[in-house]
Amino acid sequence: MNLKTHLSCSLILLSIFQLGWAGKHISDNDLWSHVVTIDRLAWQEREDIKKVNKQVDDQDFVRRIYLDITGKIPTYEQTTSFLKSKNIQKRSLLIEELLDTPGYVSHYSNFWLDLLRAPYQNSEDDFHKEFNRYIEKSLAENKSYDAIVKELMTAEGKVQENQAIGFYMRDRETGTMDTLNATVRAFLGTRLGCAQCHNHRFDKWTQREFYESAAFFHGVSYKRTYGNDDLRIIRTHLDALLKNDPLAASLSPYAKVLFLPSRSQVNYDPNKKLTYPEIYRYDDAKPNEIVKEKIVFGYGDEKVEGKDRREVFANWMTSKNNPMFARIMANRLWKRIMGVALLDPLDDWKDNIVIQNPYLFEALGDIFSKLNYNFKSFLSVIFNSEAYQLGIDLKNEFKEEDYKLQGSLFKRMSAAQLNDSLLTLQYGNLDRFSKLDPQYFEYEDKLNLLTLEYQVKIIPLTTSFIVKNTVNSKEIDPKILEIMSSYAEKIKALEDYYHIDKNGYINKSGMSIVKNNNSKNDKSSDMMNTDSMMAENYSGKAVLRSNYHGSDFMDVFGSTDRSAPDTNVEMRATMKQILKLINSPECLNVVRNDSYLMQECSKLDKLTDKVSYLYYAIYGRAPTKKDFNIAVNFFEVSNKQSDWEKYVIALINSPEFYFIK
Amino acid sequence: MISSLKNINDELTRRRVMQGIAAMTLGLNASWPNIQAGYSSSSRKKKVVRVFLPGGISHMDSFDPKPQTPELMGNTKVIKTNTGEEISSYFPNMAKNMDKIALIRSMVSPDADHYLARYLMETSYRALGTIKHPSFGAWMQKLNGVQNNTLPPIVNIRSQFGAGYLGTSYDPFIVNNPKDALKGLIMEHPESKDNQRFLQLMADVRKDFHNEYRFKGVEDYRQYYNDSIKLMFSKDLEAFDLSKEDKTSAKKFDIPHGDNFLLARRLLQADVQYISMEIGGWDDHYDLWDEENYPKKANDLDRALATFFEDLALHGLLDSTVVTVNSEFGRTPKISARKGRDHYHKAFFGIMAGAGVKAGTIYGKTDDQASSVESPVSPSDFNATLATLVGIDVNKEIYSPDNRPFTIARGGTPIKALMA
Repeated sequence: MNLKTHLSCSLILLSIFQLGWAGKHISDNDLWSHVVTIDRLAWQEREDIKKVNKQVDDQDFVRRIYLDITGKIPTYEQTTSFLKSKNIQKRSLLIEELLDTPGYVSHYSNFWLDLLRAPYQNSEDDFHKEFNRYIEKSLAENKSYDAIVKELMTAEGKVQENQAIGFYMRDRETGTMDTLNATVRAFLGTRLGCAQCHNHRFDKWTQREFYESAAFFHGVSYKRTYGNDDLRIIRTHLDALLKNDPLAASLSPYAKVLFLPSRSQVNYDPNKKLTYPEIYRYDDAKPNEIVKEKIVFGYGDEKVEGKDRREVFANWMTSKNNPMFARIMANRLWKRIMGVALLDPLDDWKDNIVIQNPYLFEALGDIFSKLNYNFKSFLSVIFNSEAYQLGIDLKNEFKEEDYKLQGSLFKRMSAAQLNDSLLTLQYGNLDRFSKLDPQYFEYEDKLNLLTLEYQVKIIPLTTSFIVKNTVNSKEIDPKILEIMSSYAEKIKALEDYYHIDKNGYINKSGMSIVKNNNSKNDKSSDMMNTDSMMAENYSGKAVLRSNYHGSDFMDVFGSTDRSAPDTNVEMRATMKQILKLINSPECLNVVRNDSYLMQECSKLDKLTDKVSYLYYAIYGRAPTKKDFNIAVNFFEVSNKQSDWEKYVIALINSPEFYFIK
Repeated sequence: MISSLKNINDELTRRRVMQGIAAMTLGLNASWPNIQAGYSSSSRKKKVVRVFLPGGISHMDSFDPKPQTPELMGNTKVIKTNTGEEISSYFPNMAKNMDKIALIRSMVSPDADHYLARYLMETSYRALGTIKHPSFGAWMQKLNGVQNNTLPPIVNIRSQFGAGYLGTSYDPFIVNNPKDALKGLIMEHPESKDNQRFLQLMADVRKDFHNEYRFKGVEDYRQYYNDSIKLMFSKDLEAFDLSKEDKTSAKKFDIPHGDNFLLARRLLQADVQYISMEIGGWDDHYDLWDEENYPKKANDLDRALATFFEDLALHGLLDSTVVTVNSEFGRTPKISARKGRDHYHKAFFGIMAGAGVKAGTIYGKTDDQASSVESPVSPSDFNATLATLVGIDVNKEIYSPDNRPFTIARGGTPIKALMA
């Protein structure tokens, strides 16, 4: 053991003995024993590395951990309170705290939705909103990885009955073979796709094996529970209703959407059997012969029980006898956090693949499995590890291909992190806009039940309306209006019961309250009164900020197009990104008069205080003498509000803002 | 909008501004990515304009009417063209310009679904849930390089098809409103005193960081920052400014859809090599012949297209540009109960015009019911023909990041009869 190793282990042992550590997400013993495992294996990898970087300092740690857990920079208050704290365990405590925030749910929901290729939310009458909520709820409840995967793979029914059907609906235009490909890729880290049409050129998968796998999902069908003509009629009647019924008109916009409920439905028929295609050209099966489903992956127990084929497949996949399941996800999370995966590419496992540190790769999977696929526990281990907490060294730049955990990679923020960080500057702590209080989920469940009843009553009426009139008729059927009216009353009663305001927020005693663990340190939570209005202002109905693609800002910064997991994530610089940083509404919003950043800054009088505030809020550090000089020279010429706007835009444009130290 | 340096009469001021630019940049000079040195043939220097008509425009009521089968014609009449043919009477202006274009009457597609059929037309590949294929423009940029150093090589007017697996450097510049193309993207009046002070601040604030953190990722941002400053001061940007167009000429384009085509022509003159636009609303399942519906839409399209072709001819741009007009499929010859036509993928039309295209021809035909074709042309064949016209070898394979091979037209056959 060299000196470095010795020191490192000592530090770890020291922390263990300091304790009284009672982690919520993971026991004391588990946490530190797993951390030691990881760090020991990391040190083995560094054996022939000459220089290993030091641990990141507090200033860089706080910014980095907020970005990696909650997907956004800390506010001025969050930064300074962490830096001031003298608690020797403050890093571990902060990790625990942040894993319980809405920010965590949002950031990792984006991870899941990217992985599942969930299309960006755009239409009101489809399955996207419910699917997003399903993922959010699962993460808020810290549902285990295997439970989520099983629920996704066995989902069926109307979207109001089972929000997880989005998993299948996503491929309604092209079919379940695409879902099968994507599932195997996402959760087993290998690609069957090419074998769909021919035996795989570069690997061992045959077309027969593709079909044997595809047979598990065959039998899934997609339905729209009512047609475009019904929609048109409902819309005409809805217009009339909103004009004449003040109660209906007073409902929140979120509720008004429910008069046109989502029509999506997934059915599963186990009796539908897949057959080999007519032009099947190999000897190992006959064209049009029925395909017998089979687990082709050669590991785990092939005989698995279940009620339907999808359940059989899911049970096998998530079983602890199938170590790849844990390893592939552990590797994905490792890549997301550390910047480089242990197994690369993430999802193209071939038999001759070379893994740089196979022991660490396996150990991570084993840890995840031992923790019963608990995300928060697992993430806790990674964030507390020394490997994660190493910093960058200006004199020790290494390329990605030479990366051996000798320090952290100097990465740019992802598009989602950049988007949310800009919003944080504009609005303060975004967590207070989330809708993760269990009451929201309760309210939405009841709303879904109501909606199902409404659908069942109204569709026969619209159907008979079509028979009597043309589709474009402006006639009004009083029976349809009556159903809508009584539905409106029931929604209103629900909204009253849960104190939902017109922006869809729970409003108790005049202030909207959203539980968030940072509120004791966070002055921005004093802005509660206007939270609801602000929320409407910035997100409309979208709760997941980064999931809402209202503009191409995130595409320009390289967010995935969700055609496949992690596809087209382009982290390199482009000219358009530069132009966006200077001129886009997303950046200009940060310097609006009413922006949180500008308001807080204007409360300070001295130039040096203002500059200090801005540097902490934007870069997470104090300004240097040179920084002060630049400011003094600039504001000497003119010191108006518009000059401060320019100053903030200039600060945001430096890569120091959007790179992570 | 953007004021031109031409308007600054003071030469000294102009020189000071140009010097100022150098100070505002951060050192390195660079150019737009993927420049390829030299072109071996003039074909590769051609430009392409693709007009897409989403919805599935009715072929019978546009370029393939069947007066011999009156029960299929609805209210549509025919008009004689200047090449001795007959097209729908809703296209009188195009009837006077048929000598400039090649018309294909035998397009076929396997799909009657809007999304799948359009995707196939744009990329030559079937849509799959697990990959995004690049647009024709992205292919052109990849294989033919870039013609203009400052302006984006691919401009989409509303169309969303992009680089797919080729990555964001091949993504289009998207214009949503041709009258205000650069809104939210380019600083107005960068040469003003105020903005110069601002740009100086921008450079100062980040100088130390760039000097300390010389990591590759950060250096790339420095390079593009410099390029952006250059772009903001570049005269080439005027191409996007429709108000700079000469008044008489601009008047011609003061018609529905006119600004799309005016912008396209200005961009062509500035050496933007691929412009794609969509003009929608053709999905007429019912009430097709209502005056405010198809007849109006068709007339508007007719005027706009004809104006564009005439304008291109006037400026000599037909010699160096290939223009295509496509829809994803046609519409049923049999008129539906709702007085419209439904999707029909077994016969529809396509148009090709310009450099290297045999003008004034008609390729392929349909039967008297406009329902089956002779000499079928698939989207792959169409795109293969276009590829050949711009000097791209249809057999050239490129590899996606996960090592799968692709060709520009997925095995389509270029149609020699369409090439001059």
